[in-house]
Amino acid sequence: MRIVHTSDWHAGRVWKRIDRLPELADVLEHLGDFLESQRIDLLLMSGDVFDSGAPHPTAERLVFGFLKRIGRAGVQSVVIAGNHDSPARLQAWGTLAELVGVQAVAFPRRRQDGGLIEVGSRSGERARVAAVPFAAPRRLISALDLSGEETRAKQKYDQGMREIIAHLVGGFEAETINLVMAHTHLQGAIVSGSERQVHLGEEWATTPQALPSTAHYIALGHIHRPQRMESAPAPAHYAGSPLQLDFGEAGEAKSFLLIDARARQPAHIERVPYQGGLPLRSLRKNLDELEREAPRLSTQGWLRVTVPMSGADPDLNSRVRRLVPNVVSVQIELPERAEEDRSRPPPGSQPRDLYLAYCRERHHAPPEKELAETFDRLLEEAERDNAT
Amino acid sequence: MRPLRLTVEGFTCFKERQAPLDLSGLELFAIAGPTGAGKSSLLDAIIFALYGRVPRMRRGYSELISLGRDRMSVLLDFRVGQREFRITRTGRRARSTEAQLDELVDGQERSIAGGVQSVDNEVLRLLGLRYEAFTQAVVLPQGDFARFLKSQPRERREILRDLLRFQVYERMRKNAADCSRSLELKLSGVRERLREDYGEVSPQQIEELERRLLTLDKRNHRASEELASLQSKVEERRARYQRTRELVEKRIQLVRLRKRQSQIETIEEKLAAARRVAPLLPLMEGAAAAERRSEDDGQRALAASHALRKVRADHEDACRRLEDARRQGEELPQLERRIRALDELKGLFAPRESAARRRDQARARQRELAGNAQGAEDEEKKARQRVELLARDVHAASQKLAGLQYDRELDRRLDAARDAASLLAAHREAAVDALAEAKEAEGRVSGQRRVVSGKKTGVEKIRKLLHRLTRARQKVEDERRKAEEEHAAAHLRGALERGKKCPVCEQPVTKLPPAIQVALLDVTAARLEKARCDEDRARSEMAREGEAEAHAQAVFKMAQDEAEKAERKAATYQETVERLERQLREIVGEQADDGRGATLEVRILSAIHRVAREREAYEQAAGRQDELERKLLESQGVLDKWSQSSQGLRQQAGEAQASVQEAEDELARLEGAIARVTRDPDPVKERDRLAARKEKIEASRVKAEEAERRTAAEFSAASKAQEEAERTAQESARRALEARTQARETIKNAGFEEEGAVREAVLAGEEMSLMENEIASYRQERHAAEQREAELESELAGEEVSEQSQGQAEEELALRRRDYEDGLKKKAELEQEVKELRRRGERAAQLSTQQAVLEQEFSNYHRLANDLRSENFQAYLLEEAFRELVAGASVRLAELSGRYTLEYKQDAFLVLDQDNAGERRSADTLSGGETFLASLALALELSEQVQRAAGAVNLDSLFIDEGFGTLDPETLDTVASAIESLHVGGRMVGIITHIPELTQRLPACVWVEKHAEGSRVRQEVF
Repeated sequence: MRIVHTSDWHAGRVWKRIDRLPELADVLEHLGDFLESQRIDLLLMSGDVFDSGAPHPTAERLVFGFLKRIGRAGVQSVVIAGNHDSPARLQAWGTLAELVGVQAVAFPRRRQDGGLIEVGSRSGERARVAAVPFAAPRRLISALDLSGEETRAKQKYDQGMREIIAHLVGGFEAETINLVMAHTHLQGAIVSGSERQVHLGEEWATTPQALPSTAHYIALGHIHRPQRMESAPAPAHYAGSPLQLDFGEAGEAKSFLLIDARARQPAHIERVPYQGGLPLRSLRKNLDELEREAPRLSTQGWLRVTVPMSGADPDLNSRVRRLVPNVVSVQIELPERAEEDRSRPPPGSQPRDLYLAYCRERHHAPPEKELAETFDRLLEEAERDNAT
Repeated sequence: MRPLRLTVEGFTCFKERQAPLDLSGLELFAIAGPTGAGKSSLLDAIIFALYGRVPRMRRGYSELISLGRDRMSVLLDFRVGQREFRITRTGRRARSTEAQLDELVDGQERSIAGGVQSVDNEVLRLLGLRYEAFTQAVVLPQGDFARFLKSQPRERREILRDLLRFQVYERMRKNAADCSRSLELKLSGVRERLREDYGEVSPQQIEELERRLLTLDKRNHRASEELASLQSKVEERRARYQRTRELVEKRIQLVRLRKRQSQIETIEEKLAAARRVAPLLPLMEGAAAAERRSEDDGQRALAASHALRKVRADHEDACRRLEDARRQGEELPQLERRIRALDELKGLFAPRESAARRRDQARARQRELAGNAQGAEDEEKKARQRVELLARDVHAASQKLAGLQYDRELDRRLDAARDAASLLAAHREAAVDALAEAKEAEGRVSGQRRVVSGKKTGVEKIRKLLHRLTRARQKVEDERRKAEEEHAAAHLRGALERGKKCPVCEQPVTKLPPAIQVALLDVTAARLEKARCDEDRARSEMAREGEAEAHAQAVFKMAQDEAEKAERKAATYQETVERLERQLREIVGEQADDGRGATLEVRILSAIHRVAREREAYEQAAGRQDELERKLLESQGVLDKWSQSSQGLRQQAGEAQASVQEAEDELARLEGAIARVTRDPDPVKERDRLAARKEKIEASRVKAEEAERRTAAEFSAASKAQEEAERTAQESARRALEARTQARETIKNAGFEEEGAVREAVLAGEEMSLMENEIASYRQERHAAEQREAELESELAGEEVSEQSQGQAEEELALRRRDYEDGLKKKAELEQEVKELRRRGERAAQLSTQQAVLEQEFSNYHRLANDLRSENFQAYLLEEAFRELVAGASVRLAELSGRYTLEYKQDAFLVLDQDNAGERRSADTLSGGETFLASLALALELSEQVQRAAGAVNLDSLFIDEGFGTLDPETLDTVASAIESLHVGGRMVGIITHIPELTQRLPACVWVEKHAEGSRVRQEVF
């Protein structure tokens, strides 16, 4: 069975007032060609199809058009919800998308309720996909309801992921190609910095031990940087986003995965670069250099330019943007101002320290011991008065 | 301050009493619901409970009461630090509100304050926040969210002052000023006293006084010695005076004693008479006792004769009873015979009872078995009916199955063809699309061809025009050249002179040519310019057209390529369709292709459906038949079981009947045997009755005999006792007479006339000893007094001291002593004076030390009072706080937005757009989303800083009431992510919103629902 793993399209993303949809359209056009020409059986999309819960209709048209195209060409696909997707919405359009061979999993489900998906290939092979969409910790446990105990809802996210994955992979068989899909932050993954900060970190991290060794391949989504997770007990990859979504990802070579899998045999896995999409670059140029190199820079993708200046210039922004229209961020770099020689009290200082600082600043001398003690006594009295 | 529970009634849209809204378990939550449901009213309720007013209130609180209600109440439980409180506010229309504040201790309310004014003060003290600061830093009401960002500088300062508890510094300043004033007063007092009261104290003065003290001391010592010698003399004289007084007393006492002498002698005579009487009394008493005893014995003899009479009557009665008992004894032999006969029956009773028991058991078993047998027969009948019914059903099912048509071979083929047919359908669709695309492309090619030929004719036309215009221009140029020549000629002509050389040909001019008429050179120049212009225009037109043509050509070429590609694609698809159709036909064979439909695959798919339906029907019928047959078999088994069981039961019932009969026969035999002896239904009891009667008769005879024996003995004892008593009585009477006679004689001999006189002379023993004592003590007292008198007379030897001389001596001694004591007093006074002077010296030294201390303290307080003034330390702190606030908020804003930072300049906030070269924008010109982010950053930093500042208010909750309705998706996502990251640090954060995406991303939600009878709240935790 020939499988392609992609994720984190973020369709409909508007970034620094730039609509990234045309770039994604380009990428999907090429991806579609690839799927057709390589006679791919199954496409795994590991979440964050759209950038927001209520995407713009043009973004929806692009994604649905793509799914229709590959469905017509006989490519089946499994899509799970990411943290940016509205699960309710995904469930809604997923119902209709079944007509073109798409199986969408929006909420964590038990095996028998659609959490474990069976897919057959043209050549009669069968694959089982354990699909774990993104879910908040409380939701994760209550949707699963493996134990039914109230206290379980309070346990850690990792525990929930362990249980749901263990439950789903219980349906794997020796004669099937066994796959896991999950939209989660696996401990040890290198983040790009452009993911939603809230859904990273301790509370949201899954440990690699939660993943099964019985899988042929584990298709991960959520982290934008393409990477193989060596710590996982089976081959596990983040496909990463097809576009460089923020300057944190500048220079990353974006790619998807081509997997050739047979039952009872290790899968053959290969990275294939995406085509299309503009690169992101950060530059440091002064105005003269910009003027000189404008024609060349104008074709180099989306740029962040840091301009060293001797003083503030209100026209700088518009000038740079006129010269190089594909600049999305203009940062001004002013000469370092000499640090003020005042020694400031650190934040959250006690009143006494503040008073010492005040004396040093206004009277140019620290207060005598008796004076400071008098201050303390007054403070104590005033606070006692305040309390009663 | 952290709200825990909220209960509202009759408050704005919450008409009905709401179940308490429990917020205690929430950290980050949304308050959601439709517009107008009253989301903001929840926050209003919290603010109202605490402060008695709300931001949107215009005309007093009665506008907060729900329409159609007369009364409202708000109850809020909240926590400050570790303590929990409950505040209640109620109000009625056209009346003032009422308020109550309690502390909750272990679930018990303990009143803290009552009445609006005192509750308001108490809340202010507990929260440490005034209303304005509360609505800036804790509950951010609708429309007020950005107030801190955009408010006036003074207002901002006030809020910050409040939040950072500057009132403490203000109080410190006041205290310092008070202290400094009072210290100043004290200091001037000390100075004054030192100067005025202690100015005269000097060491010389002390020395002088000490000298005087020494002299006085010496004089006192002498006086003390003189006093001592005088005192010893006076004391010796005082002893002699005492003895003289005693002697006089003794003499008086002796005179009194001599007078009592005759009285004592009378007592002595009385005592002697009493002593003589003593031996007579026992004789008199012995006679009386003998008389009393004789009387007693007479009584006893009478009683004994009465007892004898009674015992005789008893004996006669006992003889009669014995006679009766002997008569009854004759009945006994007959009773004994009957008892023996009954005893012989005893062996038959046990067998009779066991036979009766056996009969009852057998009868019960027989009845039970008969019942069971009937039940089994009923079941058997039912089972038989069911078997018959099922047999009929099985027959019907097999007939139905035979009637169904289903071709298994056809089904198998069609199943194999299913995927191929789907594939064919997809490809046919694609082929049709491709053909349409190819046709469309062809259409584009022919359209483009027309465009190209159109362009070509256009170019040709312009080329001709250009040619014409070039010729016209050349002509004008010729004309102009000619005109220029003419001008030159005309010019030259003017210079010609006859005889001179021609400037052109250098021939001498012989004859002047005629004057030349020339055209105006300007006209020709203008014409030439126009012609050139026309030509240039045409040329550039031509170039453009040429380019357009080339472009059209290129487009045409591209369209052709595309059309070819589309055609090829269509052809490929068509081929594939045909190939797939062939494959499909092979799979299904001709007979499967008999369905309706335009294409092969549609026909096959419809056939698949038809056959599937047939198969389903067939399998269902077969299944039903199998099921019925299985049931029939089961039912037959049941029938067999029941018929076997009913037979067995019948047989057992018969056996039970036989054993009943047997038991009854046995019983009849035994009862016959018993009836031959007695008719009594219970022979055992009869025997017992008879035995008891026999025993009773025997017992009564024994008793009667015994009674007769006892009474006979009693009778003989009584007659003996009576005789004895008679004898004793006579003897006693004789003895009494003798004793009386002897006593009378003895009295007479002792000198008394009769017994009465004897009794009068008798004295009691006590009285006698009293008399003896009196006599003895008189003698002793008189002897002692006479002896002492003699002693004293010898001691004094005639030197007796009079009272008067003694008084004079004492007076002199007292005079001397007073003189001496005066001397001592004077000395003490002098000593006191010296001591006082020394003390004052020390005090003066102390005062000057105190003065130094006070001066130091005064200077400290004075300086602090100055430093702590609002324009000094407070201003410095405020500045630092602002700087810190802006720096912190800027970092937060950068984190939240990834783009903006914050600056504070000239009393206003500026937002720096780091993506746009640090472009500065004033807070007033920000968009909705930007304003929100900046305000949020400020609010968070504000509360963070307040938390940090020592002793500042504890802000552990934050409520944001903001629509977010106007945010674009990108900003909304940023805002939502910012809100999601808020609950760090255990703070309670409540967000009011009607945007579902935001609600869904938060872990909990309080829904406010709108109903006809008022709004309601409901809680949901995801």
